[in-house]
Amino acid sequence: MTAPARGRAPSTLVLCRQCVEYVFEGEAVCPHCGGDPCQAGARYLAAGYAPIEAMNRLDRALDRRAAFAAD
Amino acid sequence: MSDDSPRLRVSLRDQLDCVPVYVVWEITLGCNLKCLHCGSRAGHKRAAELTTAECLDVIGQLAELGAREISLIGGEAFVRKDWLTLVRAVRAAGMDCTMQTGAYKLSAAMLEAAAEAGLQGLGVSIDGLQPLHDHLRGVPGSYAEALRVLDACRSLGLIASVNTQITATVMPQLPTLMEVIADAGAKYWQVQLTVAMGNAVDHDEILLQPYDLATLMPLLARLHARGLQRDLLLLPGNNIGYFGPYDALWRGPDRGHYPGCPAGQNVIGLEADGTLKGCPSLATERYGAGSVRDTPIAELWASHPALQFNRERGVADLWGHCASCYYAEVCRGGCTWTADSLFGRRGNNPYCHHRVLKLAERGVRERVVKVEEAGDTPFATGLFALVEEPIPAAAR
Repeated sequence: MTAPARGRAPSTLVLCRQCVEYVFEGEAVCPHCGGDPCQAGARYLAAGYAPIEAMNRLDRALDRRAAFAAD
Repeated sequence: MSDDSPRLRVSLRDQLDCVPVYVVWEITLGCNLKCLHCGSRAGHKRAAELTTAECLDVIGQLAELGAREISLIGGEAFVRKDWLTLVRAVRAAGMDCTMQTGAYKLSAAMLEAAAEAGLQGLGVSIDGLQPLHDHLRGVPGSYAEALRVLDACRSLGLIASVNTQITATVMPQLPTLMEVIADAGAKYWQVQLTVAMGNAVDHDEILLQPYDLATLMPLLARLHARGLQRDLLLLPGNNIGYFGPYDALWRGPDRGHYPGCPAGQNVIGLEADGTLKGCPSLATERYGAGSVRDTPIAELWASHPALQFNRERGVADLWGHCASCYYAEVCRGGCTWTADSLFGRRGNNPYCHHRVLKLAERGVRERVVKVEEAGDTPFATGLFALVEEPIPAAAR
């Protein structure tokens, strides 16, 4: 009997709220624009990224909960 | 056709358990088109394609492994006489079933039978406006046939999407093409860069150059916005990326960011003779994992070395600019097929918008140059050299 396949998942990226490019979670300075990724900028607010990001965070939390509930 | 529903979305658990959520299955290499960019050099069927009984057994094995969608492709899938039997069997096994087609000679009666058999979506290839499409597809009238089939899908209530290969000549046509597709009632438009494999190596003048992404990506962003107004969702294929200023636009709202190539982790590819791969498009000689005729799929999936390369998400395979990229750990060189087909080795992908922009900051761009032709077998690759050069003043 062969052991089941096992894999890993990618690290999580979040949007820099200044330039709306992806950065690794926890970055203090955006490597793309040099700004604070947590401070919402004009484009982030105007283009409606805040609710999108909120939904993504909720999705990830539910996904993690579902993934590890069986372990 | 959309993969946005929770059932079809690849979850964290799927990634950890390597569930083959998506199966893309070439059920025959027989084809009624002669596409200049065909990576599998389709036309004649393979010498020993799986029998109906063998296919039904494969469907059962895939369902047991946890597959949730099987997409039937060719060649041209419907030239296989038992294709409706396979559609029915996929649905009876509890999986979704879709099909990709060139649509040439796919009659309204066949479509109606497919819908009755349980086919849930049809992806129709349209690679440009009529003269360009017919030229690339190698058969006059194939453009009109594709539009006819889209219209028939609308009449039947079958969800239709359009797949477009982005070649060097189609870029100026994309805005008009999008209006045609929206008028025809398609709901999804998946765009994909033509990859240097098979017939596309023979006709390498149709390939985009990596630096063309500086023009293409802003154009796609504009088309994405226009598509939303027309109820047509532009979806980026696996080799459209990566990151850069527009990734949040088309990957962000529903699925977050590009997660790296899923071949062999959450995708299975099958060739018509039973050869298993991590992705249907990968070069058989480097990524073929043996035949389902000889070994149970579960055993191949769990242990064959040709399927393992993405599962640990390591960065040891990366080279060139991809090795030192900020996104290396997540992206891992993007689409394995695109990079491997160019260089005979995965892990360095010049068709990346982030990379193009980073190089442009230094006044540099990359282009690919063919140095070796591809063999005449399905999924054969040639060899390309990567040239780094100053951006010409006229292009700045």
